[in-house]
Amino acid sequence: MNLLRFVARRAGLTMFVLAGVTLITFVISHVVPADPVAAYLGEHAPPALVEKVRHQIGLDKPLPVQYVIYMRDLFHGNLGISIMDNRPVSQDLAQYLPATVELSTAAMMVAIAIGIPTGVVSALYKDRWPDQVARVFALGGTSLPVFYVALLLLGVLYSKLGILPGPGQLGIYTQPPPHLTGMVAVDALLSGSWDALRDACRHLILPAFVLGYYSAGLITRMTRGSLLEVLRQDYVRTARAKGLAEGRVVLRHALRNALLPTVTVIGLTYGSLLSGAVLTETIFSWPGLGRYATNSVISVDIPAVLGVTLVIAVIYSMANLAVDVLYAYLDPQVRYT
Amino acid sequence: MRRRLLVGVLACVLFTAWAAVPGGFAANYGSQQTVVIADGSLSDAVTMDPNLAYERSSTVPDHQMYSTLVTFARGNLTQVQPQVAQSWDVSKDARTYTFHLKHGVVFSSGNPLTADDVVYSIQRVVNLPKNPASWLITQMGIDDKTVSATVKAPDPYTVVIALPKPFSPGAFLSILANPVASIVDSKTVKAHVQNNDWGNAWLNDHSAGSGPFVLVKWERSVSIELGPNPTYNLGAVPSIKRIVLLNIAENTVQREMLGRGDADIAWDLSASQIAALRREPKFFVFQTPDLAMEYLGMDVKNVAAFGKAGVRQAVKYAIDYDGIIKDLLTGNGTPLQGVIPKGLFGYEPSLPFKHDPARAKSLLAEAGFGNGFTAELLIGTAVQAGGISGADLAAKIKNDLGAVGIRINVRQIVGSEMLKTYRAQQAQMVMLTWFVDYPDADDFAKPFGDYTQKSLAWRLNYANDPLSKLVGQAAEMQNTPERAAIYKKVNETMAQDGPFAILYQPLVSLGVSKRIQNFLYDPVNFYDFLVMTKQ
Repeated sequence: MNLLRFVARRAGLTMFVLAGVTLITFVISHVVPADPVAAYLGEHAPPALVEKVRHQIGLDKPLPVQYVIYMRDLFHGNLGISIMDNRPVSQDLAQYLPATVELSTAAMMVAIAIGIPTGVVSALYKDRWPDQVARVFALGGTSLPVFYVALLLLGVLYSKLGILPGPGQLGIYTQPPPHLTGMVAVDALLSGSWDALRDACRHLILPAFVLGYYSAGLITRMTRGSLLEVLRQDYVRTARAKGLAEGRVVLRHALRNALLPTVTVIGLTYGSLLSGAVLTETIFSWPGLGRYATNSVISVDIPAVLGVTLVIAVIYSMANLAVDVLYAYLDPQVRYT
Repeated sequence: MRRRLLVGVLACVLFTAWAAVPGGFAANYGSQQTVVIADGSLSDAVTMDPNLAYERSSTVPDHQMYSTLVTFARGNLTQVQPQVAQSWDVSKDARTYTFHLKHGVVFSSGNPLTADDVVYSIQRVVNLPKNPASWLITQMGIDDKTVSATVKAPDPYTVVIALPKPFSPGAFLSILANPVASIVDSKTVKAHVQNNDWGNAWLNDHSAGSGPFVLVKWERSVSIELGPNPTYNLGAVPSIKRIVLLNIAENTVQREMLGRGDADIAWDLSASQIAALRREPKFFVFQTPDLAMEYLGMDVKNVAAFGKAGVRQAVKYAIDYDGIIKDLLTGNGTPLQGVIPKGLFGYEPSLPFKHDPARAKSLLAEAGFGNGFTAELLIGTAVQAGGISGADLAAKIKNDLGAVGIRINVRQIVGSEMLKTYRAQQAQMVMLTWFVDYPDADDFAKPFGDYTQKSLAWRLNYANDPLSKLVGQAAEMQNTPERAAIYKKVNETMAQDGPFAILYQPLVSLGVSKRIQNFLYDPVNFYDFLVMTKQ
């Protein structure tokens, strides 16, 4: 009951935050000197055409009027029409979001699968060689630029050795699965297209690793740090004194508590992965939200920029909320007020 | 606990191994019938609707899916030839054009192509909202109000276009060869109209043309895929059945895909990648002059010095053209100083300006600017013609002009912001690439020479009435020696007096797999998939 009330209150607050986000992005995207009509029509267009299109898009109206129109449409679930591809922004987002969710989820799984065990090993072997190796690995993840890792791995595993496929979600000779969720691997699984599933998974490996490596570094460091702290606590000593096996002490008693800060990192990183996989998506030609966002910004496609920002804000808020709810599960001391 | 962990690790390993094993995949057409092009600019594509298409990313596929009344012979952009029209008559005053259509041409739907489809297609161009390509047609006096009176179909195989004012057949026919004038299947398109959109929403993801290919799939910013048109009968059926255009932003990745055979053509290779590719036996480098130019514009009002023709000439003498082409472009460009590029009617091969700093200095002194002056140069963030960075090119210009005493402050801003300033006549100096719209001298002479067009000359506050008159005169003439003589005069006047220093004409350089044979490409017809074959 407490939890439900908490979620409801947070949802209400989120609405305020989102309204603020629309206002700020709206104002910013209209006061920047870049001109959407010039970006759309290009250099050759005669002035009369520029004026005509400005009128057609509604950019000749006063700014407050444009905002009121935007908000009115938004309440009807209408995110506007993209300037660049003449399509409803909602349709564009529906196309690009699934690919990003697929990639980010795979990356998150990679990050957790690598990060938590590495962090645990690192803490248990503190200052010995496994710890040193793990720390260098983690440092690499957080400090090597994503595009560098991406191009390096592509150059070796794809170009030189040919072990893994190149960019894209599927090879061009692979029959794509029917469109169900928009996530190619999931669609292939649901429709039983095994060749497509295998190809989709092969294509996922490199980008998911590149994107997940950064977060893996963060998770490793977080897990290591908090596990070391927890292992010093009294109740761990008590558990050991009771004669419990070391594995049980570490994994059941210590790790569960040590994971609290890690969960925060995971939740927020997942939010940022969903919104910020720009470089990975660009290099791997992944048809996701990150690339859509960059293209929209470059071409000053205001409706698209506003739409993407709003979606990212919603994702962030949801990730935050999910983290808070998870806390309750992991730590009974947390109470919602 | 330990067992569970072990099972988990094993499962992960097995899964990765299963996924990592390459396997044979189903495909409609094999690699011999499929051509894959890696191109980093597909995210420009606004639409696949041919009557709206304006960017290369959309006109390349539209060119394969749709036919036009007339087209250009390969490698000869001064000679139009029939496509859907069998023949045409031009009235003596160059105002009435009558096209006689071929019989038996069909669309991919099976519907016959008639004069009504041509009329409907031109109506679409001038009526579609937000149409960046519409000015190509409206500049001839055909707009949404006049279209029904000017474009008519007296019978199913005749189209008569009666222009309100004369328009040179050279220019007029080359506009009709542009993908914007593609003929769409009016019956099919009309059946898919929603909310008075002229079928635009539907035509974005479907095709309705009579070209050799049809649209299979357009994944925005990702790929464009074309398949064969089963009813194509305008020529021999091509052996290539499937064209896949992939948006690959990084040229390193394009190069790797070419190396692995995942791409047959790489579009954006850098000058050094091109040079390295020449030494590899599995690929060849295809080069052809692009109908484009890189220019430096000087505002004759905002900077007092540029108001003097002598100073403008001094700038043109101060620039080291050969150095730019040799060192920056590593050969990926060719000298050009007239305003009409090589390959078009009216091109002027003689080059009045060579790198001559001494001459530049004396011209500056004569004009009363012996101590030099300062100006601000606006450049965009995009890659410039020939694949070089705008900042690098601007640095070279700054250096060259600095050597004769002209101090340049370079300001790099977003392209659209720069255009806004430029369009508002508020720039001091600009550096930009200008691309061809239709392969006729008129497409260059008008923006560069005629300020009444409110294009480039006007943006730089350069008004020259005799020049405007000459340009206007040539725009109404047949391609005769007299028209050529006028363009020669236009080129000379622009060189001696005009506010533009033309830096170079870029080359298109493509990395191509040797599996591709009969590779033809030109900057107007693009790839010729009709004759292309693959091993």
